[in-house]
Amino acid sequence: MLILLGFSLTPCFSAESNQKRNRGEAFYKLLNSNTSGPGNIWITFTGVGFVWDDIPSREDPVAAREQKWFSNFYAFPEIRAQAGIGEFMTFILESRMLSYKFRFGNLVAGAKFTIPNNKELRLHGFGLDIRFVRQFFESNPTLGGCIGFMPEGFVVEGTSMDAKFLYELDLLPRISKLPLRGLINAGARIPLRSDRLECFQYIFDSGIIYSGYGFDFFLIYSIEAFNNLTKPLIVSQKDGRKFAVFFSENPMYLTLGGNVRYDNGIVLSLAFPLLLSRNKYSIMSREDGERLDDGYYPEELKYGVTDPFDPWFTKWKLAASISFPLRYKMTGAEMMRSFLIMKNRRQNKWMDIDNRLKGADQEQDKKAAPKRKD
Amino acid sequence: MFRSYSSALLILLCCSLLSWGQTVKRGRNEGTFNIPSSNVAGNGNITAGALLSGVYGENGFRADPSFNVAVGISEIMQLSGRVSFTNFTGLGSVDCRLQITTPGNNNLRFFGMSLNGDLYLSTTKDTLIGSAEEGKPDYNFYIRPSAIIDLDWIALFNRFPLKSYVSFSMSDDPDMLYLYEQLSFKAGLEWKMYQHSIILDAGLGLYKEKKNRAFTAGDKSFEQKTFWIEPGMRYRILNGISILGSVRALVFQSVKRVRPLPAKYLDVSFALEIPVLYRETNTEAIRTMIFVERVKEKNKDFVARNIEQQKSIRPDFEITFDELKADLPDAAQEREQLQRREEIHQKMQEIESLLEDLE
Repeated sequence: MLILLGFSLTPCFSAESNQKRNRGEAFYKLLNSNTSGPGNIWITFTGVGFVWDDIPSREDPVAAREQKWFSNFYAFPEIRAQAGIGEFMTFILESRMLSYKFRFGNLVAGAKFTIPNNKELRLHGFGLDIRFVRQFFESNPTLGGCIGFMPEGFVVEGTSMDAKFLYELDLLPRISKLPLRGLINAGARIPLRSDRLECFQYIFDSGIIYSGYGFDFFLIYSIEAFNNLTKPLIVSQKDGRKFAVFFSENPMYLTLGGNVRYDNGIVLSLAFPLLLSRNKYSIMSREDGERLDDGYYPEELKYGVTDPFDPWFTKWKLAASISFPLRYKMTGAEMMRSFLIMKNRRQNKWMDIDNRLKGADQEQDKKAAPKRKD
Repeated sequence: MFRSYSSALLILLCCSLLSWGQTVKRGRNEGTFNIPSSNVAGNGNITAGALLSGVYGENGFRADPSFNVAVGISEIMQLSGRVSFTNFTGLGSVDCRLQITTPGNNNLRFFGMSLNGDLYLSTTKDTLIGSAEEGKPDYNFYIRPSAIIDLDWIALFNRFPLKSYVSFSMSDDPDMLYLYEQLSFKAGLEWKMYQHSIILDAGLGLYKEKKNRAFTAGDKSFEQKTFWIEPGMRYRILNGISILGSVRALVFQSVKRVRPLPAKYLDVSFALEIPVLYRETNTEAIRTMIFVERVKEKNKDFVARNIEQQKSIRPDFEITFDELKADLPDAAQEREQLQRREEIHQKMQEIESLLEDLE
């Protein structure tokens, strides 16, 4: 597979044309404030993998012995298409096509808007991203068994709306030797289900991106926080269990990642989101929940908690993606970005000995030809 | 007759070697089995590889295949990743390394150093450390720094193609990172030949058990030590694909009485490295040129010596003349060979002038 990919990319190296850059690109889940440019269509295939221990039979050594392939690794495919509509808007359609037990995961449709100076390489960029997420299930392999708390974060079956304000500080137009960008996405995820409205989340992502000509590095901090900064959110389950989610238990990730960019627009990306959340453990057991009135657990009694469940998210994820343009017209801003980065790039001294020797042979032949004629 | 036959064969071999000289695809990040070079692959170069390691130890025999890929990101940076599978039964450790090397990466430098950031994504079930417990296991990640220093002796003495390596890491066995703090010191020697290499590695691993449910105090120091040596070789086929083989033998292991570190007595490994996207780098072009130049010199010496020898053994030669005639190249062939050598010499001069221009 890698070899095939390699061969398919080979022509990219020889291309000397302007690099095709997506004006409205995303770094893992961090969005920039720009739109893709009129008529431009980009496709991204992503695979997200992580390890999760969910099947009780795997705890059983006899069952484990009988099982030939024993792995807790999950990998889910995702696809995203984004199309630039005018200078100010990008239409986005994405989906996790397969999720747990080969079920369809979710479908997302949305749009990103930006202010009119998108054509320019701007120091400050502002945008707004609105998406509707249709999640097809919320039953989960979470070890505690509480609805909605999936290994990667909290979800609500049905429709939710994500609205984010986007800000971008692009230092390149001001200091051309420093191709550094700072991005902030801040907003909220609101479940459009009356019984889950209390579980709305504040979404905050911020990151620093260093962009070279053929590569990017990024460092991103992300949090999806319930309304629990001052006091824990008390989540009620259908079965009557109640548990507390404290602020430090919100899904928080630090993502390290990088892109390799080829001249024909193909971008290979690899990101490692690493969990920062810390659980606030309850010393109460599940059985203890029935005798809270004894006074042994005053904090639990105070919040009306009946279950010691803690959100339990995956400690790390691995996200690999390939992105390419389906339809592309160079935007002025990205042409300028390529130019400024190229201007300050140290040229490599590549030497293709075979070609040079071939050239030398041809020169010799040319010299030898008149002699032969003589 | 045998000597003359082998002499002719050697001349032909040298000539074929010279004509193929420029096509060896030697990656700049190639090192020994356990220590990669401090140099990073060129910008955009991609190398993929596979490894199969068979270990016989206290816990019996197991075979761990793994796959890796390395991408040169810029002239001083490289990103590489590796995925292993434990005994063909499940996903093993996954790790990723960002390697940044010191300047001069594009020259044949004597001293090279790289600093690396290693990210290990553990797939080993942890129910002992920190908050993890049975039923709620952790699969943690670990970020560890490492460093590599190498000395490329061919940069000083072109008749001494030895490269020596030293590395330091805070991970000796990634699968055990959840249970032990680790320190790893490795040293390696690589005798580089025109295409192939002979390798000798040695390593010292120090282990300190972390505080856990079974051992609440934790080790106070690195009480367990393991030392091994690993000879091996790199054999290059089709001028680019490397096949590596090595045998690691445990020399010494010092363990605790309680919960001792399981010993791995013998480890036989085979690896395949394929340059998927390859552009020649100056460093390796210069190294190739040195090898080609040396072969050329040897060839010259051999021709001169052969002429002298032929003068001295004339009577013997005449005796077996008819027999030898069939084996020796005729005058036309020799002329052709000389002409070919002359052409190659001109090409080498061309390369030298190109390199001078570049510098």
